[in-house]
Amino acid sequence: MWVEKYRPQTLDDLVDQTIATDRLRPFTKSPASMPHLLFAGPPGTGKTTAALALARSILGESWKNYLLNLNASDERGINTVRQRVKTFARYSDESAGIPFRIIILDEADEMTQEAQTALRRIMEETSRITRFILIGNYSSKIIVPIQSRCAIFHFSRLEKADVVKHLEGICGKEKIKCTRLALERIHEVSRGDLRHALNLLQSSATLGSIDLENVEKATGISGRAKVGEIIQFALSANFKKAHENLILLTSVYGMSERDFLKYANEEIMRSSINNLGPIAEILAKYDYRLVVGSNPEIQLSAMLAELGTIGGIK
Amino acid sequence: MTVKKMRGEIRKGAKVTPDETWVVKHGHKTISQMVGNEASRFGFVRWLEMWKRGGKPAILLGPPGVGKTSLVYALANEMGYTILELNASDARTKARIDAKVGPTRENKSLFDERLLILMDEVDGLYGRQDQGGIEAVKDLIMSAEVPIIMTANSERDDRIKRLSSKAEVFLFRRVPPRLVEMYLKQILGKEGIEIDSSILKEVVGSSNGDMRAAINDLMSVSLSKLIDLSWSGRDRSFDLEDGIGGLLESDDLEEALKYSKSTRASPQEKLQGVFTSLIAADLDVEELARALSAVSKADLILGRIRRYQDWRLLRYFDTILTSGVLKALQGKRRNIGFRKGTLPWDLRLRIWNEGRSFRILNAKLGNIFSVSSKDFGTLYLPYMAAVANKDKAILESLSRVGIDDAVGRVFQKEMARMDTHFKKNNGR
Repeated sequence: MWVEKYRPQTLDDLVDQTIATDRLRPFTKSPASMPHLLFAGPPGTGKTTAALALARSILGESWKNYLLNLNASDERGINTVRQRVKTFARYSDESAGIPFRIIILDEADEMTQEAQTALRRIMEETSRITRFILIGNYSSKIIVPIQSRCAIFHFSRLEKADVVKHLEGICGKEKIKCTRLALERIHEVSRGDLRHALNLLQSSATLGSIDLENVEKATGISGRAKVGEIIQFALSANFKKAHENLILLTSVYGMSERDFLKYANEEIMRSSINNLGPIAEILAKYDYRLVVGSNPEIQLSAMLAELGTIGGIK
Repeated sequence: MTVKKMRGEIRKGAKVTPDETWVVKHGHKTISQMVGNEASRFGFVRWLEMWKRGGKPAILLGPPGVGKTSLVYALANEMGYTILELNASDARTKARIDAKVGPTRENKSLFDERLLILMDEVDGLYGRQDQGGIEAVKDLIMSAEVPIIMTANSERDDRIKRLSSKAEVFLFRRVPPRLVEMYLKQILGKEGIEIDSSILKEVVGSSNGDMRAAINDLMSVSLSKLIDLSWSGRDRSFDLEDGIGGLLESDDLEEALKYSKSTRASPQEKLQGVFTSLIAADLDVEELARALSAVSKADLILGRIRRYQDWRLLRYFDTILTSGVLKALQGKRRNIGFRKGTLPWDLRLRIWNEGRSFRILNAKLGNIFSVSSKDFGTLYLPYMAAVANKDKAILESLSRVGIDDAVGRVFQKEMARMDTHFKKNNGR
């Protein structure tokens, strides 16, 4: 996949995040001065890529041996994290010329307060021979004690011009024809998320050249677009279809119910629906209920049914 | 439920102030006096006679009031056992079970008395409410120093099923009306009471094979000297299907509430049952939205209970659920029966056949692409399947990262879906 093929290997190659990379570069020269790091910013803006590039330049050739890459939402509970971190951080590597081991913890902001408190303890226990790079969308969702132990780096949404230029460059290397309008459309759909943009670009390319029509076709296949379809079914009072497609997304493709709401909100915001107020109210109501309630399927189904009662859509 | 008006005659009244209930007075004192379920009864007697240290426990499984507990007491009495009774309601958590049983288990029979442990109603040990409850029971089973006997009502309950695999199971059925009637007649004979046979039939019928209930009703009927008798039949309990079905078909709140409260199922199961039934029913979207909103509110209660372990809130659950659903369906009674699964077969098959494969794909490939598995499923997998139609190397690389053929085939199916998707849109 092009996302991997064209993933920048060094901080210098990163698209558009000069503010962050300028501050990170000194750590590659004198690693000893590196504290724990917290990378915050929207998806697809280079946080993970920056962390990997940093690890590569600090840890040298066999960097993979000294790097633990965890995803908070995939590791079942803080105890699993603790176990894996402990096993990993057992050995000091001074003799190998490695200043410390690096642990990248992705989606750290999705951890509960309790888990984060436990994480803080883990960070302290292992701080002599490890550095954490925490990654998340919102630094505000990280508890203050952890924030205070980290240097915080904000990654910003990528600019249209930079994305288009980057995509153009890739089209050139892959020898694929593209139109500027199509690339702009890709940026619009992916909302500054470069990895989404790249996936979209590559999928469109399988249809021939990158033109508006092909981009439009490829746009329809992502899970996010399916969420948009489901909301449309619900709004047109086709509950059965909306419900079945919801189950398909969550039970077959593994989308979490909270993500469903997240994408639903994004989709209605960029659609041309006029009844936005009431829709957003319903979404907000069930967002709350999803957190408080016990059965996510029931909550989202009730939401889909209620969306069908607003009326006046189309 | 229904209040039955009955006309009948008690020809000769009983003594007005009985010093003990008839269930105690006329309950079975010896095994040979007991009625019904012969095979299980004697099988169980044999089990206890043959029991040796480390042996399996016994589960007496059957509806309430057919004499499971009585049998244990009668047999213990005859064989000289002392019973240590653990009630599900008083020994809920693992800690409490351990505290109560632990000492006896270790010191064994202190005064050399023969001890047996009776755990009544183990299906009362429910999920989170009894954290570790069932686990503690399992531990007990593993280290049996004394005979352990459990009683339970529902053989369909999953937890009981799991226990059953480690125990000797004796099934008890409802006592047939003929035997109930015979037994009641014996009691009437001993008490010197005659009552109208239509009343006796009614008592037998409404007991639904529950002997204890029958004796209780018989006593109350005989003691009331009323000739024109308003006798409210016995509240029955329902399995999930009948309970939810009844709830949805009720037209007043009181009746619906009774169904809801008398359904033998956990709140989660009830909620799920109402939910799937509503979805399957042919409701217009307004009704459905109102009804599901009530279900959603009831679910909030369960969520709070789960989060704060605040079981006090449970008392509101049935009311919120039934009143909300009833109001939503108001005035439009139609046949909304209990329905369990509402999903079409092809979707169910996909969940069954592909759900696991996608989980593996998302986790393994997500790891490689440094994204969470849920993000991979949403933002990578579909594109990857589309691209794989052109770039054959992708499919080949799957086996290199440890994805087996079965999972690979699911990926190929997804590739085919993307292909059709693109082709379909081409024709437009």
